[in-house]
Amino acid sequence: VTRTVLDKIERAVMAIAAHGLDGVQEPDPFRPSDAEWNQMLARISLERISGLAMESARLGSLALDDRQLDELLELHRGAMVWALRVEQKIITLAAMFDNEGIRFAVLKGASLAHTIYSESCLRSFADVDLLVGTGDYRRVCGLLERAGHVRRQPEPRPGFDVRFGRASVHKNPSDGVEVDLHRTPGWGPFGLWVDPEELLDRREAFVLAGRPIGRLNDAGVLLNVAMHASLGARPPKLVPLRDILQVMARGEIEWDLLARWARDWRLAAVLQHAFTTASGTLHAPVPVPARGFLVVRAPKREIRALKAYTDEGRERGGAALATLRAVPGVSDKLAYAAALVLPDREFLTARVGPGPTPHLRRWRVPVGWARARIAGLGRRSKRPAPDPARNR
Amino acid sequence: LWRRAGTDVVATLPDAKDVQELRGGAAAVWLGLDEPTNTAELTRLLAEVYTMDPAVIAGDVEVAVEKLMQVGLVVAS
Repeated sequence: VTRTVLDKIERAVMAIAAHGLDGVQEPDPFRPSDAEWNQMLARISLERISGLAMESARLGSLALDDRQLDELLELHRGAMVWALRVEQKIITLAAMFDNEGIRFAVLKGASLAHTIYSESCLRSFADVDLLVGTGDYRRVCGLLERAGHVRRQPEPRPGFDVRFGRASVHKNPSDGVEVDLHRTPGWGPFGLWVDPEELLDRREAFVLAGRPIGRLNDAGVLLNVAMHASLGARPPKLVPLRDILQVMARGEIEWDLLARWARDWRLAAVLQHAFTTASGTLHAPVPVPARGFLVVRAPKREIRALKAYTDEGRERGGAALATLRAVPGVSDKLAYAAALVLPDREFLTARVGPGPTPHLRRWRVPVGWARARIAGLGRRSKRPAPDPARNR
Repeated sequence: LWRRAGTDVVATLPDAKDVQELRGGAAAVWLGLDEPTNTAELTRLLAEVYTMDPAVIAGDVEVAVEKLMQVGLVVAS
């Protein structure tokens, strides 16, 4: 597959992800060859945009032959059947949480499909994302276990989750459905700065099989999808970028509230980055009410924290360092650092695999930092001393 | 719980094991049941939408509604 073909496919996939957005011009019909289609279908599946692809095919911007259309329909049907399985899980858990008096909000996925998209079939999703209060987090972990879910990875040390953690993944082996249980919607420092209780206080509802289910209000939704786009996968997936533009256009956003949250929760840089990336990637204009966020001067601290997620250093411990800087108080900083450097063996085994020296393998990253620092110091000390005469 | 998948529909109940795939006329019947109605009214509506003779599709509509009732996706009220 040549670079040109890949570019062509990439452009076609972007056009699908941007299909129907305000201000986006309908592209000329794209007729993929069989080889191009095979690549495209894999991307459509990976990006979970089969609904938007079906819509593009229906309206003609994606011109498929019968075989290609059958393959797309098969993929989409599978995605929709899975979405129903996930929604069954949401209903089961909602009943369980309501009985226990636990307040929760469904993040992304089903809550977006049923509210900000014109038809639920346009937004696929793979799992359940739930936000619960920090005080309920442990109890909910227990309830999920009783419902047959197995936690994928233990916490690094007892108490880590509720002090510093963002989310844990709980999968049910019998139905295959994964629940991402969030204590905060944000990653690292941003997760610590956000106030999840206020997000829960301002919850709204969407209806699933006649039952009201908690979700974030639209300002909270925008905040959440923006964090997901900027702080999640690198480079960002197309669906979170689409979600941003979709909720901006279709949501009932209290812009003043969002501006306050951005200021109080140090999210100005994240929102700016997310809005710019969504607009630039999908070639869709940022709606007028959101443009104010693009011209705000984000504080340096936020920009630095954001860079820890958008730069290459992320995978080399940058995110952990950024979080350490944001953890308030010396004792909490020490507890956070200790949990990362000397976690429980059970956590290490789950993380780096079984073996005789899991801690040593875990320390590769910080040892790498230290060696780089020492090498940098060496280089600096070898610089010739400035000539004082030149300064006169 | 249901989704459109092209011209087909997939649907299930909150506690059901199976997901029903409704194709062709069955999908059209499901989409026509967006609001509560009776079989005669539904037949008239579908005949209008698909520009067909109500007498020709009446039998098929009745069979489809019955099948949807059997699997619990449609209930009589």
